[in-house]
Amino acid sequence: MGVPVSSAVLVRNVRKAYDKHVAVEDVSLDVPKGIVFGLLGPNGAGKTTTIRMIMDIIRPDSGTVEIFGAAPSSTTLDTIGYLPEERGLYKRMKVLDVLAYLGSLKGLEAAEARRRASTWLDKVGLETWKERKIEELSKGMAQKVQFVSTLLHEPRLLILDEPFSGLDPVNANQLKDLFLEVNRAGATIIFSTHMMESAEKLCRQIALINKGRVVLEGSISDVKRRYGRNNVLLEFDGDSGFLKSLPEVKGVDDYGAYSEVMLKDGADPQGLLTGVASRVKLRRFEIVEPTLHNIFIQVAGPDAAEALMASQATAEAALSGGGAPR
Amino acid sequence: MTLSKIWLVARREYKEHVGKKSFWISLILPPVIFTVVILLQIMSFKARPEETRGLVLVDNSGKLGAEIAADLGDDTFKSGKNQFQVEMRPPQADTTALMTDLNRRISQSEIFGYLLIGPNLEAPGAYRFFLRNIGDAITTDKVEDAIRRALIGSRLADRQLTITRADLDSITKRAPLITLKVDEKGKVSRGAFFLVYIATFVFLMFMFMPIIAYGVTALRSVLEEKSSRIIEVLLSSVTPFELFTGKIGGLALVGLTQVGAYVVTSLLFSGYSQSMAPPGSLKDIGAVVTPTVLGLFLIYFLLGFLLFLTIFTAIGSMVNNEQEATHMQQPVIMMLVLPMYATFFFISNPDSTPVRIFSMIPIFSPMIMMMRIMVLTPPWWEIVLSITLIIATILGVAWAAARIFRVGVLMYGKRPTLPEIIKWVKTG
Repeated sequence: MGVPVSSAVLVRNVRKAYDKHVAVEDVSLDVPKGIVFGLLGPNGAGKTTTIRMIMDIIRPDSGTVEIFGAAPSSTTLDTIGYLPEERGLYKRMKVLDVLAYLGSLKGLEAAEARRRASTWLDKVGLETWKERKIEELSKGMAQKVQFVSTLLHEPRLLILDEPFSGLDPVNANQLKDLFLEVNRAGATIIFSTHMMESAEKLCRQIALINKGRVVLEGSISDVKRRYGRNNVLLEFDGDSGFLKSLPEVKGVDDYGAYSEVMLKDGADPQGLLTGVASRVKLRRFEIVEPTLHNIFIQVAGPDAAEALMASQATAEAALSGGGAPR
Repeated sequence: MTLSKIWLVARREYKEHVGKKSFWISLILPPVIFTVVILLQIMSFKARPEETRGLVLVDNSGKLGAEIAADLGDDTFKSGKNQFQVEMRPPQADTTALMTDLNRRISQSEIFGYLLIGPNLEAPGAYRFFLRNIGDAITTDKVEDAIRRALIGSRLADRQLTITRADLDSITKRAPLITLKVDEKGKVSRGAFFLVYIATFVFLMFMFMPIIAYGVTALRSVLEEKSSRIIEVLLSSVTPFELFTGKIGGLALVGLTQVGAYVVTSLLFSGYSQSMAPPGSLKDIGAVVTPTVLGLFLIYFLLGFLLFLTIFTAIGSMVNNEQEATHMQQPVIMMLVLPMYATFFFISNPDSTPVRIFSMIPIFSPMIMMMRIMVLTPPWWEIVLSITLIIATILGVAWAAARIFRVGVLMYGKRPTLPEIIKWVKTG
């Protein structure tokens, strides 16, 4: 009351259960205004369910959601742009018509919606496709149109669920630039993905979800600080098998060209250096921040690692196979 | 819930369907086919080709032949041309060879047909008319009439009664029965049963066809939005209830546009067909289809249409593909077809208890009440009660269907079971 709301989205202890399984157990999120917020976790962790509850598409069994300080309603919906993971457009409608329709559903005047849609299409390089039907577009083009549709009403909050799935790197990059531009203009962005690397590059703050619970949250730098500088990158000639037997080592990821070693808590990197240097000829020894991927696995355990790998595999199969993602 | 969003959804739905070629085809084709069929019938009746039909007459009884030949021989077209050219054959003990020859002459179109009368006039199968075109009802009627007159004369003669041809004709003239309908106010009007039956059937078809067509369209439209995964995009801007209501509203408008067009065409056409129709057949239509009947039809049509559209839309949200859709829409279509099959029963017993009960069940109500209204207008309280029940059911079904829709549209994978659907309605 009277206090300015600093959160774009505030989720408090939401729970959602379906017939037999609990999709979201007890999730609380606080997304500050104006940042890019990453909602991370493997497929099936509860990301999409959480987002649908924020969008008021499904109702939580318990807990509350606030958008800019208000309970979700038709009015709050008009301030949000949402790109769902399951997305599509009317195949037989023309590009500009679809956009005008979706814009008018967000409360724009029809003429204004058309004007804005037209400007955006020019911007994403689809100026010659305005009067074509959606079914004539390539997958990447349709994805761009879909993305444009979330921006027409100049949302204060943009929610993107796996926005890059099924996109080639060039298009993915173009979309990434677009939504960073929207963020610079003041919109808050919630970016949900299982791809830790892209989240790491884009997000200021994250929440890691696994099995319906938030297992880790905070700013990226905080999270990394908390999980310490306890990883070491090693490059050397010879077999890496001996690494596991060293007293300082907790785990090893062998990437072929180099290995990443996780140190035990409190272990001294200096000790590792001596241990390794005495056995092989070192080319590189670098103390690094652990990747989000590694932190996630540390926090959520080996099951989560497998779930993450599976998500990755599905996404890649979808991209190479050209099939629709699940 | 905002009306403007419902309106936007409805308008897009309307535009999409009215913009399709199939809409215009379904708009134009049925009235055109209907018109052509009726015109052809009227034309074929009016413009019977004035050609003399060659008939061979073999009378083995020896009693009727001359009479029939004279009768048919007198018959002329308007122009004065003879309708028949009759060729008499003497009685024969064995007709096998003759028949083979006559059959050949028919197949080669030398004669129209031949009439074979057996030696015993009262025996079954004594009268046989062989012809190529047994659909020529006018000719067979004329032949049958000629036989009947000749036979009456012969039977009278057997009883030693003599009578002139003119007396015979006036004695055997048919009594033209007129059926008169007394309505609930005691008002008497002309209403042939046949006409009532036809009019009822036409009304039922006008209800049945659009309900089936647009019910299935609604189902498919939801299914398509589900499978093209556009549903969730829409739900980021509108509530499931707005989407659901808008969709039904839009489709209802498409349906009404189509039915409206039919009504206009039939009104234009009925003027013409009445002037063309043979006397007594369609002239009395005004007595059967009164403005009250038309008004009630529109009310029942609209309610039935909305009820089924709601049901079909809910089904669309539950299914994942065409096969499942076909499966789940089957029982609903059965409900629709049932009153059609039982039309005759309902019309013959309009105020029996089972019919009155059936006519109060909302899913059957629009059609059965319409039948009752056509034959024997039910008391007003029954009409009001049935309309109230349908409206209540529509609201109830819409409420449940919107909840089913809310959960169903985001469910992919297996078809829900009945307990699951009930749970969806409860939790919404």
